[in-house]
Amino acid sequence: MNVAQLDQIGLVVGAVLTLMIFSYLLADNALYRIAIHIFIGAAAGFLLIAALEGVLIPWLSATVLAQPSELSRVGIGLMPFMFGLLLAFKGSSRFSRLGDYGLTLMIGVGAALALVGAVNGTLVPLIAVTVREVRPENVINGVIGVIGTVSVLVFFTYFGVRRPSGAVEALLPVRFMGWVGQAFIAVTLGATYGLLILSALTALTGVITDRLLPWIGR
Amino acid sequence: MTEQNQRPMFDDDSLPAWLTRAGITHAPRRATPPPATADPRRASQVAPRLQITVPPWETPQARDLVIEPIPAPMDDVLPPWLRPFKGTLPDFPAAGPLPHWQTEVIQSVDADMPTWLAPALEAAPTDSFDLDFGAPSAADEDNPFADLERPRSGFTTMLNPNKLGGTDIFAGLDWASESEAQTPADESKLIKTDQLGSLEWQGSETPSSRGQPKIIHTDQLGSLEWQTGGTPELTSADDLFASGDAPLPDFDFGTAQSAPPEADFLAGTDDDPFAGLDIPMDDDPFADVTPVQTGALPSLPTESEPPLAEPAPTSRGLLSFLETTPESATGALPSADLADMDWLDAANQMTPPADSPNFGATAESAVTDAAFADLGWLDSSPEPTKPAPSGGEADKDLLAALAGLETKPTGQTSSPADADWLLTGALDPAQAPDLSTLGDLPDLTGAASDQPTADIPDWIKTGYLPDQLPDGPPAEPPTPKSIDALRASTESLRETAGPTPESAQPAMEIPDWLMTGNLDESKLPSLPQTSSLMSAALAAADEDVPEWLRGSQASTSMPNFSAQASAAPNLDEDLPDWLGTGALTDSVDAPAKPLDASATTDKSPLADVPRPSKVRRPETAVDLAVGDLDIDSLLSSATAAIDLSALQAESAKEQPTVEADLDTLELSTAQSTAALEAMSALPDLGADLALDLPTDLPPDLGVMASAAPDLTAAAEAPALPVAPLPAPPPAEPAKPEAPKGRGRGRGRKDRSTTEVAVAAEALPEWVEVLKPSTGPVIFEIGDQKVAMEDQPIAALPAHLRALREKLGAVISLPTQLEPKGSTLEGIQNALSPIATTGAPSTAAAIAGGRRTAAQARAVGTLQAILSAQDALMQKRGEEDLAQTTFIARKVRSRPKLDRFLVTLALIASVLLPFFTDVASVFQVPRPETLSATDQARFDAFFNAVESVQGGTPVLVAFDYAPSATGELDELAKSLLRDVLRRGGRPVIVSTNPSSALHAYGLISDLANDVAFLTSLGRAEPFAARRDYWVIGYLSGGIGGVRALANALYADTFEQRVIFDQDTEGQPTGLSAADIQALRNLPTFLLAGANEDVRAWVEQYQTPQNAPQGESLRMVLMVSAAASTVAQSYTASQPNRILSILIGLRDSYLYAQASGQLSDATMQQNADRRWQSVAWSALMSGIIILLGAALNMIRDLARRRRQA
Repeated sequence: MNVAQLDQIGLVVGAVLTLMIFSYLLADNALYRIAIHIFIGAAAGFLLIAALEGVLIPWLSATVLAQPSELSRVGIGLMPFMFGLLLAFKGSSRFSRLGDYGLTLMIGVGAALALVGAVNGTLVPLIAVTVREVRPENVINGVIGVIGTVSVLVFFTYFGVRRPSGAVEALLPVRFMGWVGQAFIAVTLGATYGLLILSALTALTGVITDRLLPWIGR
Repeated sequence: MTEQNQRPMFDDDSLPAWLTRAGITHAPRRATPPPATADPRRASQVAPRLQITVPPWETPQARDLVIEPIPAPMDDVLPPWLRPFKGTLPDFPAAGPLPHWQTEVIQSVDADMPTWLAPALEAAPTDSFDLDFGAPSAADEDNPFADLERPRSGFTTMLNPNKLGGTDIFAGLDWASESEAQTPADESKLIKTDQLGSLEWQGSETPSSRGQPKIIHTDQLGSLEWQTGGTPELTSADDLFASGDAPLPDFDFGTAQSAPPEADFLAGTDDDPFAGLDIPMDDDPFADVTPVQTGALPSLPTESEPPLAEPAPTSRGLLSFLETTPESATGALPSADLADMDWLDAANQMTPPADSPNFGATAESAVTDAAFADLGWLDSSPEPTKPAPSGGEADKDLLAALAGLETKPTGQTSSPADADWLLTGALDPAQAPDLSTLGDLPDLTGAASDQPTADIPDWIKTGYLPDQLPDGPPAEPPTPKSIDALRASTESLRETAGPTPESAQPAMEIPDWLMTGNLDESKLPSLPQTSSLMSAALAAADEDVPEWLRGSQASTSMPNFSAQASAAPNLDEDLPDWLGTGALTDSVDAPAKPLDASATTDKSPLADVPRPSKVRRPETAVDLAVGDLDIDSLLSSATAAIDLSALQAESAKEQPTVEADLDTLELSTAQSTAALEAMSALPDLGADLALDLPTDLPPDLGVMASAAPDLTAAAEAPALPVAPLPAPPPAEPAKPEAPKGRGRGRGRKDRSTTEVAVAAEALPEWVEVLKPSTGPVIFEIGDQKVAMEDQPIAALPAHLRALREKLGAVISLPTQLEPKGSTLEGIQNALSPIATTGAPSTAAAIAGGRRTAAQARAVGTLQAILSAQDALMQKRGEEDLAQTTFIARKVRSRPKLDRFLVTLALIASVLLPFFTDVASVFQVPRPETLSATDQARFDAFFNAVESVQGGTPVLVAFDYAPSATGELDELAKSLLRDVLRRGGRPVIVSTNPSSALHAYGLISDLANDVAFLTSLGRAEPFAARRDYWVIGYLSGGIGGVRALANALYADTFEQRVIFDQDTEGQPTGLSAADIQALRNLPTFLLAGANEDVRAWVEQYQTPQNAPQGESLRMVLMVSAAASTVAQSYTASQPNRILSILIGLRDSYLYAQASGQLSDATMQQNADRRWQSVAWSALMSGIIILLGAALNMIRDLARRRRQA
């Protein structure tokens, strides 16, 4: 069996699985579930293989199994396994505390990276671009951008005043800005949803163009 | 006068130890408020003073008595003379002068004395305190013995204040003063207390241990205590017994002089009744007694204490009787309420004649022991332990002794009245024999001696009062004119009473008024203290006393108090004149009625009540008059009583006697009430009430005791004129209070009784009525058991019994079990037996309970609740089942039409452009038609691609999932073709394993694409790790991106980990220069989601160790879904993010601009694809809008329906 034949088999299997997934349009059916299960199983298996071949083996080869062996390199190479082992203790109620150390490391490092990256890569650039958009030649876009940004930020603001009844209620300007921000969010989500549909349709048309039309000879 | 005589005469502390051990003590003096109906004359009567009615074996440890006040509710029940005395017994009086009221009373008694007695008193020694038990109020002319010569010798206890050195022995009594302030004139009623005490004597049981004295302490018996003026600190039996050197009251047998307390005649003789006791002879009060001289008048039988005519516990004769009975010396005397004691006492004050019988135990005693032994009225013992040494007839000796004491001729003693008085004291004078026909004393004596004791009525022999009294007072018999007449009268009485059983029946025949014996001494005729009279009386008693009067000792059943109470007759009418006018009529509110024999039948409410076996009946005049009773019978019955008492004595060792005795009075409420009613209705005959009751009452009676009237308090009241009480009070709930803090607690009572009684105290009265008496009734409710005490049916009030009978017929439901399926399943009668509030709380009644209407409703409600709960649970179960079914059905849900239509519409819109040009209605984007902004983006993109030089590694990040392949694969292919065409070597990395694998397949296909290779003029495909590298998966998400950025600037361990191996696990072969070249060219990021874009944009930044001026740049090629975020980052960081390409449209433009759509087919397919996407997007938009509209309409409709 050559590569061309494998490609044909892959094309047919892909087409069948695609139809099985599309069968969900009619209803939740076994074909859909079978296709989903195959996809999840294949993805998990692939992930395991990818992690083994793309992460563990390179890691061990570069650290522990590297020649000449260096203690520091071995220690560093074993360190991820140590934290991984701590995480494995989370499954035990008796030793779950040990897993907290690995989890703490992961969360701490991840939070630090996310925070630094968000500030430097998202907030500051977005604020800057918003300010830069307010230009005389693009006043409307700038105003819409400012209003949208501020209103959305206000919408996610949960400050308010406490009423005599005990309820905490935002002030009217804040609420008004929140309503505006909510509208921007709705438009953004709608556009995102439409783009998702568009991406799906593009994928569908790509399959039809690349798989179906050649198969039917067009 | 000895030193002892100088001490308070009636101070029990001063009594010799052997006397106190023998149970001899002094009754307390007490004051009693005058009854409302008291005869004014009674105020002048001498109050009773000495009452010792408790046999020694019954009061072993008189201590720790607690005298509780009479409950307030008892005010309605108690007679008026009891009500004022609610408090505790006053402190024991200190010896002191007699209160003025006492003195007045005594003086008044003296004033009331018959004139024929006055000389006797005058002749009597003054150093003795006359024990005046109420002088007869009758005038001298009424004295039947007026013509009789005063007996010159005899048994007389003289309680003369002068003996105390002229000081009033009660003067120092604070309590006496208080009582005086209240009711000084009613002192005479106090005597009656001992009559209750005498009831216990009539018990047929014999104490098991005679040697163990048991007495009721004087402080326990209010009347006794009160009358014991000289016992201020006598608070317990120990004190009483400990005072061995206490002087006896003048208890002179046969001496008219100041008799020392010692009675020598008792010592050392075979007839010494104390011989069997370990009595120190030094303390023998009779040691110095000398016979009363002939001619000396005895003391006037004024108001006398009720004699404690307790039957001797043994058959050792009189002295034995005296030994074992505290007040035997007086109690055994034939006196009507001790009236006869006075003349005997007076005789004691006299010098016995030379020929008088020697009562001492020694040969020097003038009174012989035989005289005592032959005292038929005393000798009731069937088996005298010590027969008279003289061997003479008892009666004869007695009479001889009396003859030696008397001064009056025998013939004068033979008046009918005398005989009547002497015999019974309380007997109807009509029954009295005509003593005038007795003849000379010797004859009479001989007749009396010849008269078999069996003929003497039992109750006279034994001195016991019957437990049950006859139906009514005996018909007034004709006045006997002789002994025969007396016999006839007694027979008439016997006939009136009807046939009687051996024990109970005689008792039932005793008239009520006779049983109490508390005749008013003032009404009694003068005592003809002649031996002839005594002999005649003895003889008559032997023959003529009814049988019902004899067997009283055998009777142990309780009289019907309620009957007595309810039908207390007017004794004035029933009694003979000499009785009715004196004792009974003056102070009787509701004259006592003789007990009805039928009252003890089953119909009686007390029929089922266990009768206390040791209830002591009041000392009656009959008891005291039976001086010539059969000693054997008397003692035999006493033995029986002793046996009973001994049983209690064992348990009463550590308990106050009164408390123990009062246990016997713990009867039902009904009994108590009835008894109190009877008491209240009884006439005040001026006799003491001595309580000596059995202690072995069943616990159920103890239960009732709490609800019963506080008869203890009544008995201990300062003045308790309960003399006319026909029967002992049935209940005594109140616990005696320890006088003056003495004693050791109060509770040696039977534990069960105590516990039940204590429990009963906390319960309301109506609950007390329902208390069980026949043992615990176990209610089983499931696995729980509840024990309830039952009570005798007879203890219930009449209305409750009637209700019980009525309900008994109704409550007949069988035992029911709760129905299955209910919560109470299996529980037996869980709800049924609630009718106990209306039905008797007996086990049988409860077991067959019947639901009332209210209970049925309650049951229905409960069942409804339970059924509702069951229904709810069942409904929930059904819902759960339905939900499960729904889930299962959902799996097999049918295809939905809307989804089918949408599917068809989308399929048609997607496929239709590929099969027809009719659907190509949308404009295909062309590079020439790009806007300036889009053109700038494309220009920046192409500039970044064109910066790739030949052989230069280019970092391409594939971070999109397979779902975005249809949109980004064209961009990826276009980018890779353009890079490969320019000689660049793509180094593909990904933070998504699947994307890395997809990149691997994509570049492999492209590297082997013939058309692409042909367009490039290459004959061989591109090779991995030479022309391209698929590094593969960057683990750690954003950390991996950050590690990649750091690895580009440091030849470290981290750099080698990332770049040493590719996806195939092969060494990449990338050199440090290659890796360093990666940071010089922009990185092309293919991202399908916002998160991927943000991760790369945020983390793929120039590290701090990057060379100055260098920065990591990137070009974004994202899907339409990630376009919004990518465009923002691109716009915000134009220096770092060089350009951006978005989705299929930019891919199509990029392919057209880069010349990758070389042939017409590829261009046509690209155009149809664009039309397909356009149509499908349009159709999707339309469907979404339609769906939104429909959903909004449905929602509005649903809201409208809900509204």
